[in-house]
Amino acid sequence: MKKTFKFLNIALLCLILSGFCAAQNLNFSGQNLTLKDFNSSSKNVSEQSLVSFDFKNPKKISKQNGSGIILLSSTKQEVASLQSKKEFGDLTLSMDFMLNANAKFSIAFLNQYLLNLGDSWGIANPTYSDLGGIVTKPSISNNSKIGNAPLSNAANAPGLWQQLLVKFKATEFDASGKKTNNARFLEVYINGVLVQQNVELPDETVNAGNKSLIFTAEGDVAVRDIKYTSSVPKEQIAQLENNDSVTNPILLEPNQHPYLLRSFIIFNRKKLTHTISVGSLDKIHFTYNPLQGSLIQIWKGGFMDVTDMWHERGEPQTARPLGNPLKFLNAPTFGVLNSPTDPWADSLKFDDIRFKGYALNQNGYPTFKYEWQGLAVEDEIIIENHQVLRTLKATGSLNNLYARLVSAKSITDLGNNFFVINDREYYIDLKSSAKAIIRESNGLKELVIPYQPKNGSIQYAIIW
Amino acid sequence: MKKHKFNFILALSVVIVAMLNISNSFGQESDTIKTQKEDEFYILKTIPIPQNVELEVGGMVLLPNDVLAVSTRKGDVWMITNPYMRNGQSPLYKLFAQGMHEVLGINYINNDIYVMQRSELTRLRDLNGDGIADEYYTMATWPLAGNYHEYAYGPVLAKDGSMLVTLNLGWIGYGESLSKWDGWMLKIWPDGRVEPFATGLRSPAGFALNDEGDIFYSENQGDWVGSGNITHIEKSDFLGNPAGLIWADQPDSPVKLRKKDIPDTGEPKFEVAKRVPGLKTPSVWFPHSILGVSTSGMLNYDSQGSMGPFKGQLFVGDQGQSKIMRVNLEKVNGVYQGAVFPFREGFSSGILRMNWGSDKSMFVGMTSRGWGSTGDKLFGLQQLSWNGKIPFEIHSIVAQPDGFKINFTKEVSEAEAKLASSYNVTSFTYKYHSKYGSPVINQAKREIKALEISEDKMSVRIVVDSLINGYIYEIKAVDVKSTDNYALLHNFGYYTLNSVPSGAKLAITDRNRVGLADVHAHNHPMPKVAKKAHAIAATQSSVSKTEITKVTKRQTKMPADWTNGPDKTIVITPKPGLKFSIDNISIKAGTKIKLTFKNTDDMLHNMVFTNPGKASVVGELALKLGLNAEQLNYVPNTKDVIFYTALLQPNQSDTIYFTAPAKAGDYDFVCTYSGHYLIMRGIMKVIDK
Repeated sequence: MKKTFKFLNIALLCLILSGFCAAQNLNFSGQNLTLKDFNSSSKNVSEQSLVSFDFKNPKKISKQNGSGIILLSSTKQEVASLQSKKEFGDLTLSMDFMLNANAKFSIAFLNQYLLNLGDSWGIANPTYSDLGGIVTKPSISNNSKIGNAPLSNAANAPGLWQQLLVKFKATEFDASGKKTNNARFLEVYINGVLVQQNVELPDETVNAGNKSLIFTAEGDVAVRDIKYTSSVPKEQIAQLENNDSVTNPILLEPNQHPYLLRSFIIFNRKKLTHTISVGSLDKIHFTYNPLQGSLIQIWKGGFMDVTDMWHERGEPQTARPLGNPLKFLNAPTFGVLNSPTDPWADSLKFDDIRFKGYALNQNGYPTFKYEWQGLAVEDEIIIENHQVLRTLKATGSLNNLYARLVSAKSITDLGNNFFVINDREYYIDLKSSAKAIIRESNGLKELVIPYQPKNGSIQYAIIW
Repeated sequence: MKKHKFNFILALSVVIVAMLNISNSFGQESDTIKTQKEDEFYILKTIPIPQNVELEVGGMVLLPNDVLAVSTRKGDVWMITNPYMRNGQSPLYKLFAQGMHEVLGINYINNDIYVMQRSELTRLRDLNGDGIADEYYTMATWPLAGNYHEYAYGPVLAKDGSMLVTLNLGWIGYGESLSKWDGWMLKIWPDGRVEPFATGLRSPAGFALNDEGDIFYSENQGDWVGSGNITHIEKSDFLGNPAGLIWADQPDSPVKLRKKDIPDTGEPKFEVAKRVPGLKTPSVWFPHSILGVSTSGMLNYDSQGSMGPFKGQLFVGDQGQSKIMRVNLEKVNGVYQGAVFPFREGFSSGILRMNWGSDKSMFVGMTSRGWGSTGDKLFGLQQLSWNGKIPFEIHSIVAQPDGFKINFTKEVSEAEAKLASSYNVTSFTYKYHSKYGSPVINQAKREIKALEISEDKMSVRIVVDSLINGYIYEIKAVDVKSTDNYALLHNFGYYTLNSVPSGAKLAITDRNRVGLADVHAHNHPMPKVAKKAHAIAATQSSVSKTEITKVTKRQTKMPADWTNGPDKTIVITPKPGLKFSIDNISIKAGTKIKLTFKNTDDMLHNMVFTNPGKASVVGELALKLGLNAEQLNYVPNTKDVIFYTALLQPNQSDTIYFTAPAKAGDYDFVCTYSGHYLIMRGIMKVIDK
């Protein structure tokens, strides 16, 4: 990967090298599309300033009249749909969308090429009808292959905002109207994860007809921040220097049981040296930092690219998640707060914590163990029901001991110890009856729990 | 690649045979001398590895149930049942543990399996009895800077019940202790307490206890290390690379020296040690590229093994040269010293670990990823067995107050053994400095003054003109043969003389005095000596002549007639894994080229252009330069070398100017430094104008 390419297009490199390593943030500036830019099936399409779907009860929908969010809610009789007034050719499109449980959703490009965006949360092996799937409709009629499954399932849980970025190349025709190039989905990113790349759409019908974008929903779907540009990046062909060959990537996936990988990783531009990343067969993975006793990131899809560890000497010795991690703070989970306004410790020094390793349960998931301030801590993290389930237990005693589960821009209490974090980014489901406190510290919200070891454990799930 | 290896071995045999032939022309029974080969005594067997298992051996240990546990660089631990292939059955592999960080050591201590990861010493237990580890218990951990060169090795059980581990220096263009205890040997006590024990280590990949329970570690040539060696480590020792001394002021450090105490003068290490108490010099130096380029695992030949008549000695592996050396140690005036000999070469990959099997054979575990080795496989597991036949070898060399006693494994034939001309003794040493490696310095031939064969004809005592503490003695017994007319399997050893023993010197008599004895035994000793002396003189003059002629092969200033400058400028660097950054240059005949070779790697390299197809020939010749190699930039004096750069330290570069050959062809370029030629090469394609 070093100095090999003349054009250093990271996304493109990733395409070539692994096909599904790329994660991309949606810092994309384009023109906005709002409800007035669409013709809608008006009965079941509305504009709201706030929409939320309830993770546990799909029937509970909260909304607030206003602008900014388009809500599509189908009825039994009729799907909800939007058809753009404008027609498009080449198109880079991004938007946020939120799905109620089991909602179906798709976007048709050039009025015909379907990208599926329906609720697929928790599906380990998605098909083309799941979120990020493409219907290719080959003209050679063979029903066994009529679509392209996403490279991985990047779907978030119902009721959370998700991100879409599509780069679509339109069908090309010559002067006589003869097709010269098929349309292609160049790239599709879901929640920052590349799920499709360079998918050719070999439809032989020369259709110079309507070229609208069509959104179709069954169930409840909210959409916001639709942006587009009528162009796609110019294609670049990677060129090799001096007969140098591309390094074949080494991609690691768990097999039969979770894979616990000790490695260096780059986390927020810093090299962490003692981390343990856990890859699960459910394709939900996480990284633990034993020097802080902290769960620092979780992600979906592929597990790890270890090329930089295992190719030749592996000089960087870093492993890289094959997904777009949801990152937490690299800071201790337990802390002592002598006053409720005490700030949480930024980090532990090397000698403040004594890591004692981990034990694996029957399914191969770890309980990490460490000693801190005279406490013996057990920190079990498993993947269950598509959730990251963490159980914290300490023995010993320490006054004014707290566990911090979240530090974020916003924390909303949804009741029954269920919280949604930031702008509906992920949920925290606190299983124990412990009283959680939402407090403000350093301009951020923190979810902390007073903890006495004698009261047992703290258990919570991260759902996204 | 296979072919190269074959040629390499063949070439070595040719050297030995050639040496014999030269001597035979002087001897009496030239037509009857028989040669031996390593594989007539030591049988090498390759243990099959399932194709989906990457057994890049980092550590090995034989468990009490006769299962061979192997830890790998990719973090696995494999349990290998029946590695002996008894009953003609293949060994079985079972994955015991997974996902650890480059596990370069495994051991079985007090009924538990311990593994060494980069960041920690881990105890592995299988609690539910399914044959898979489910408890990874951290015994001790230490900080890391995140440098790939921060390797960790061990554990070895010390006499006192602690576990010894070592931590490599990081590499940032030079060795540096980037985090606490990099460059140290530590003791880990059963309660997890970490006790810093000694520092000055650079790349301490192997260590073991001898029969007495004293600790020896193997060191690789590098900065502050003139050549590979093994050294006896004791508490509070400083072994030579000052990087680790930055932690010497920590409260629990036993080391008194500080970085500022260490002079960077390039004097021999033993000279510096005289005025820097606490600086420990090697027990036995291994001359670079002659006896290895990267010492690794160490195995004490105790009652668990059966490798011929060398019990009590140490075996030391070499990763780069895929071979095993043998060391005899003795303690003189309280200081360990001894000699190193070749033992067995031709292993399939880079040797990292050796362990005894229950059948007293030796398991040899290998990996070469990222470093390159003479054995061209990326990894491997082989078994070395002794077939019970005694090779005719130098058993050991022991120091005497006035010289050395050379012990042989078989009776020597008196006729040759009593001739001083059958031996060759040269003393030399290395520089101690921050530079990478060292040339051979202060090299001098030692005259043998007297010589006496023991009564049982199993040893020969040689008296040399003077003995100097601290020097390495190259002792060759080229013409010595056994009573049954065999030449030595390996006819040289290198003795590191740290201390001259006291005791009775040999009374020099007419009988043992060199010169007269030879005259009495044969009628032509004088011409022979004269001839040899002449030969040496000739070599020396040819060396200086070479220096002169080679100047044009390494033109470091732009020729005055290149008025328009070079036609083409090329910059090349090494790439990890013994490669050039460019392995194919295409140019027109007669092109004026300015070539810069920048050594960005962490070992020495040169770049030598040869006539088409001659890279291997030149590489082999470079290997034969022996002690002079480094002074000569590892460039042999042959017409097949057309241009070359200097031998470069890490971070050095050399720019040369040359005109591409007029004749079209695929010219080779190659690094000829200590065996790199097998892998590190490229083609300069010269096309007609």
